[in-house]
Amino acid sequence: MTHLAALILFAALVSPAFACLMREGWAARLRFTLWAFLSFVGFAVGIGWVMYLAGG
Amino acid sequence: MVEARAGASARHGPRAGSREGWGPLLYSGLGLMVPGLGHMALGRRGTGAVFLVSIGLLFVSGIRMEGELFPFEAAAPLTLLAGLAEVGSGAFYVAARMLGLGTGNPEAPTYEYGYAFLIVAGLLNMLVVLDAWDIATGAKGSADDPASTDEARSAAR
Repeated sequence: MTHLAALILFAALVSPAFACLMREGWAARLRFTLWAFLSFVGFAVGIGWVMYLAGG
Repeated sequence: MVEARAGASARHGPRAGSREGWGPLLYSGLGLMVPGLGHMALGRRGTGAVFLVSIGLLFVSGIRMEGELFPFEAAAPLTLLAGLAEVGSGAFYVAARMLGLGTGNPEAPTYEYGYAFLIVAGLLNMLVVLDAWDIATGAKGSADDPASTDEARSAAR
């Protein structure tokens, strides 16, 4: 399993649980799930690029 | 803190059908034994199912990635904390222990991912247990809460 695959699996499993904890109503939960998933993946990839560029 | 809690109660009012006495302990205990079971018993079947699937798949993925179920070693505080966090998965943890799974393989490339998944599964279920407690005491949710009414209606049918 690659790092990216593990990250995507983690984000996909944790996001809906956080959505159910933090939002009421299925529409709001779906929106939060998508937002949390994209945030997990986006920030991790972004920080990865920062480390790559800063580290040379 | 007390005032904030009192204010929240005043805003929401006692939840219709909120459980008193041993109720919150019972629902929290159910949730600790099986992730999501407390929510299902409270009539939030859909929410409970999401927790069961999410936490269950996190735990199973952690085991399949050769993550470790840490022993309780008082001499190694971080290991002890990790072990306590993993216990939060309830039935999944007990089943894995009984089946001899979760021995961990530090040489596997996914070992660190594996135990991270296992720890997160346990900690996430602890949050779910606290959520069940809040719902059972009426501190969270209200009669006009769209999720709870939809699910409560389905449960009543």
